[in-house]
Amino acid sequence: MTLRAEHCGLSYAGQRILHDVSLELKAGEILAVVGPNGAGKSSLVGLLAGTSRPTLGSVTLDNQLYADISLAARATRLAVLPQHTSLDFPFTVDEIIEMGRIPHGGNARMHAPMRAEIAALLGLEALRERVYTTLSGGEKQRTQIARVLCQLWDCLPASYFLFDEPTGALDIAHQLVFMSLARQLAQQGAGVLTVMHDINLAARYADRLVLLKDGEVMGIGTPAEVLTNEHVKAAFGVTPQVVLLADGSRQWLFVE
Amino acid sequence: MTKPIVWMMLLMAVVASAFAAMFFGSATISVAQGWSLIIGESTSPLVDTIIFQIRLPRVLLALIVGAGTAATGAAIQGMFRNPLADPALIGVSSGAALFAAAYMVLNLHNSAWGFLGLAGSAFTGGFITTLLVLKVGQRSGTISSMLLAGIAVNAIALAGVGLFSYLSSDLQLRSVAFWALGSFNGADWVGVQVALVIPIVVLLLYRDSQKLNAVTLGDLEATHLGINVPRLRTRIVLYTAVITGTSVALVGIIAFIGLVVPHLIRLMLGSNHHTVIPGSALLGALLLLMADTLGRVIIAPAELPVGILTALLGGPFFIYLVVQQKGRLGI
Repeated sequence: MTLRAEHCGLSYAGQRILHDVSLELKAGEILAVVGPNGAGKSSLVGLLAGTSRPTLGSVTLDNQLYADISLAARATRLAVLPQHTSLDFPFTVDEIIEMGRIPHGGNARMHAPMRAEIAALLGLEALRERVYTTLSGGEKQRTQIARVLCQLWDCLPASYFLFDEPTGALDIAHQLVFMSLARQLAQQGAGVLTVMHDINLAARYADRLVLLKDGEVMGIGTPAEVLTNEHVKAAFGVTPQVVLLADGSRQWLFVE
Repeated sequence: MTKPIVWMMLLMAVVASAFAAMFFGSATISVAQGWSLIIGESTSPLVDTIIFQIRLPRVLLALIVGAGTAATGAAIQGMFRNPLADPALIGVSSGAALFAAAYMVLNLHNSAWGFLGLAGSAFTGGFITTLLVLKVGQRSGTISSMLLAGIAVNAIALAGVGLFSYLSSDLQLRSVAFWALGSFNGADWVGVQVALVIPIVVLLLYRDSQKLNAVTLGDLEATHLGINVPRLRTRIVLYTAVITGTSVALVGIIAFIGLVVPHLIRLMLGSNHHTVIPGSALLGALLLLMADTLGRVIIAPAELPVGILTALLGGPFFIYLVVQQKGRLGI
């Protein structure tokens, strides 16, 4: 049960975006993707999601090529949160969450309890009848996360979630809410990949990290393996200081 | 107001205005005469002719065209993810009118194909322009470029219509001018029969409601929800071309109904296309019928073409929308 990229390359208009990327997202794990701006993190998400086809190499979902899986079937195994969703139509929050059920058919009443449960988990219960276009950035983001969760909520084992910067617009408390939700998904058998900018959040919650730089994988493994001084300096151009906290976990501090 | 009440009121307003429209016009028909007609008693042959051969087909045509135009407007706005899209604004209607004008001025009108040929060429024109606008928009990837392409295509097509009017004889000129204005003046039962394709296509549009909901999130998001977006887009373009082509062939260009009506429905009933498409169809039917009836009575015995009225009323509303949204529309 894996979502696997093997020696993938991606070029666009003659420009190399990703080069020789190989990685696996296993069922039951959280894999965080970190790296500087323009490293190819979103392109990696597009590649794994099957929306951009690799110019080299192959991507397989449980050993099947995307070309062999219909879009409808894919949508019942893989849910994706793009980095930015712009929506100019005044849908209510609940209607947007409901759109997550489109791949499964059926009517809105059938999964009303599911929508209520997910909305509550993301602190959206009071906002369900609010119009999306009037929400704040963070509230919009939580609504989109809820929609993505709703898509696969009843088939978590052997499903995959790809989140592109889910915590970007969230306050600290909701960042933690999201990460512990991701943990719950993984515990129930889903593979969760999430692009993150907050290295400490990524290191604390992810089972493994991928460090991308200029379209190449610089390191992949446990946070301690990947976030070495050398790697961080090479990728971001800043020197980290690692602090050991009382509970034994590591904390990365960044200085110039 | 709760939603079921809004639906009831819309439905009742449509029925009431359809009845009312039968009794307004340059020839006055009394309430007593109207009542006799309703209960099936025959009145004078003249009244029978006015009601059954002139006003009834006209009322039906206005209802059908209004419903179709507003429903496509709703679908196109969803598909283009822009609340400002409208078949008349993005050049579909004028493309259809251009081909219809060409058909008439090149004198194909009297050929064996007759009206079907006219409808067919209007459809072809609508289809080509929609596809063109869509392709240009996809190429540059932004919705605003698609709307801008629509403006350009619109201008080119209307220039073409102008050119054909310039080339036409006096008699042809009148009919070409009619295309540019939009009017139900020539409504008859043949027209109503041809127009019956419109409600069928509106039902097809309605079947794609859920997919249109997903597309408003974005092409990528819809794809991840299992929707084949290019195929959906082709379908919507085809439906739009059929509805707009048929309407234009029948009654000419009717602007702003497709733009304004879905907006009003979203304000009253929300954005779900399951609601917006049928709701727009009802309100579109109502507004176009009311506009046409108004056009028949305000300068009676002469008539104001309905296209002029919808533009006069819809234009200011459009400006209001732009001002009120203050750049939040993403165009």
